Amino acid sequence: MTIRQWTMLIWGLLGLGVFVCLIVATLSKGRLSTLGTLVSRITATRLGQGLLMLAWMWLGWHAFAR
Amino acid sequence: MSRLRRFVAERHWIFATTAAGGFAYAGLASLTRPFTVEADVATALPLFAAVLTMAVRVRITKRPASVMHPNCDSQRVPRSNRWSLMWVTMAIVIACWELYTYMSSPRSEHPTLSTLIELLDSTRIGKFSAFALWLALGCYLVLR
Repeated sequence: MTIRQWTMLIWGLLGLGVFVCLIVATLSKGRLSTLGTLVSRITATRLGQGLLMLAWMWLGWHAFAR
Repeated sequence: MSRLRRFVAERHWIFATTAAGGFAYAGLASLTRPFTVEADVATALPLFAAVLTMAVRVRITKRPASVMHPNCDSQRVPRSNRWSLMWVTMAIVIACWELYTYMSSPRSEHPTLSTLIELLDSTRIGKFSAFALWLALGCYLVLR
């Protein structure tokens, strides 16, 4: 395997890890923090909400415009 | 019930119209190519809409004190537990891997997250999905 393929494989494993965490947290019925819980904690303050919005804006601009 | 869920339940026709509009807009945006004026405009419009909505919401609504303090026992802000560390750890691992690939050379052998996004954006359906997802995420954040 080339280095590129290894790098892609690790990205895939990380993505799979996030997906598994999402499923496990959802199925735990509140025992584990879901991503939504974490987002709620962050957006509980205007500062946190503003920072997440900025991250969203940057992501969109970076991915679709520039 | 979260505010978003209540909003969807009470005003499902607004939600359906917004969702349809979002999909249509994502379809239009998927026709653009990065580094063009069209792509700039297509991306900038949701950004302006989000900023405007946030500004209006901040102006017309005052958050209850329970939401202002993240350490309160209110059910509006779910308490985090030690398993929140799972997400923090995941974010740190991804950030470290992104940094490693970004700093490594040759760059073509070490694709970063941006490279993956470019790969996704290279197909029409990929860009449509990514743009629709991005719009949905923006709505979710604005309506919280």
